[in-house]
Amino acid sequence: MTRNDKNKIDRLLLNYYREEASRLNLPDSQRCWQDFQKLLEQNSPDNIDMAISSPPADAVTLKSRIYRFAGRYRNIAAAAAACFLVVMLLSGMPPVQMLRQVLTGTLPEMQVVGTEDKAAQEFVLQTQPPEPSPAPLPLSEKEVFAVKATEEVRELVFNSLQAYRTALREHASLAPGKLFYLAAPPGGYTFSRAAIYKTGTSLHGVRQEFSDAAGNKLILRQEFAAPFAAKIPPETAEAAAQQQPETGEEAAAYSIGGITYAVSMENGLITLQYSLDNSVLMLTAAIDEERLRHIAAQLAVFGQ
Amino acid sequence: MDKDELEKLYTQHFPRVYRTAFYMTGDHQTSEDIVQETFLKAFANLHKLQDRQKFGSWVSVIASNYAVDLLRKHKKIFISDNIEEFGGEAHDDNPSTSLERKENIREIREALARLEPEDREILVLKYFNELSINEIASMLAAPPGTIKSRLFRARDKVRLLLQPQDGIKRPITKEKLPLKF
Repeated sequence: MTRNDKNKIDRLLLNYYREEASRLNLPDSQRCWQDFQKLLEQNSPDNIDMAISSPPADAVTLKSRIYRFAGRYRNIAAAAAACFLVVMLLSGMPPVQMLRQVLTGTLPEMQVVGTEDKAAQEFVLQTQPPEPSPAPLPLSEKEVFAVKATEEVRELVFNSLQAYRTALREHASLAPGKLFYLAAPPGGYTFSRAAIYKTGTSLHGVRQEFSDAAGNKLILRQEFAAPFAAKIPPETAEAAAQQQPETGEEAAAYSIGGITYAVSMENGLITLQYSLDNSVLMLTAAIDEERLRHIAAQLAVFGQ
Repeated sequence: MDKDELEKLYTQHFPRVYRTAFYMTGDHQTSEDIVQETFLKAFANLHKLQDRQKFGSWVSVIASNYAVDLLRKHKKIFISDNIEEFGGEAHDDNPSTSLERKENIREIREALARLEPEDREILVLKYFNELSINEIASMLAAPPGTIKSRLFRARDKVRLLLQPQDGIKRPITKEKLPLKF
């Protein structure tokens, strides 16, 4: 398409929409407002009251946050890549092998000998041994058994989004990581129920369930602690979603906080599974993957 | 914010949201449903909007997004051959000019109706709502480059659909449209 064509189509479409806008008969906005008020009463007005009473917060979507982050730190990322390239060239190590060693922290001491004056110059690059990371101490079988025996996981069930949100506020501090949730039912769905799975001292999982007019469910689950995951009632598709699918499609185009997801499908139900730092997030519904990704993009971090 | 302020927001932005929905679906009843659902979503998420001045653009994007979801789900769009359904003809003193314009409008409308909902969405946001690439990108949470290429593709499809074949400008009949009614 030439620039001329582009300008022509630009003008054509602009004029078309302007003309149509002036011609289109609109329904009575007052009548629609009356209908809307009835709809408000039916659709959890608490939710809306809470939303509009709270001050505007920095709550842009996850994806736009990622793009903003990428934009802000692209210079640093470029500098890091350049440093990596220089070190790689000096070491003469294949890039894949080196990247693997850097990532696993097993980069050996490197010796690079200057080529210009072999006798006089000898550069030694030494990598610092990696700092021991404060990994969580593994519990012995005895300890795990003790925890299981003494701390029973309780399921708290909520029939309104407002009540669930209030409960999340109370329990968020018990979660070992960020809590993801859907602040409003996705288009075409209504809120069914939500649940929090917890012991007295920690939060083990959360779950939101929505359904559409035909009764099809959309389920969002986030599990924090593996030993207690089995306590959360599994469903057919969710049980499949708990396992990393062997033939699942890996995609990086959509992600939460830069984390890729796995897709699994069973009995017409699709599950997107995100592995986060301290938890696994699963979104399941009988809809196409693209729409499910679209819903995943609406996920919000509780308290942000 | 009290109910009066909500009503003010609703009535102020109702025409724009309604038109956005109508240009996406071509059906009055569906557009009314989209408007209601859109405002419901918008008011429930009002705290997420950083700049209240952008409420109009934001709510239009919610409407177009919801319309895309709806169209994809039902695989349905309504096209009216009847220009009066859109609210009547533009008045023109010259009957032949008026007829030609009417025909042109019908062709553009049918070309737009043939597009995928996502293509139509980008055109409605760009040419009806007159949003910039960056505005669309930030509201659809997509990189500006993606929006640019989507816009290019949609524009090119419109150009091809409006191009006369074999030098003869044929009217697109309703039967030829690959859409389910």
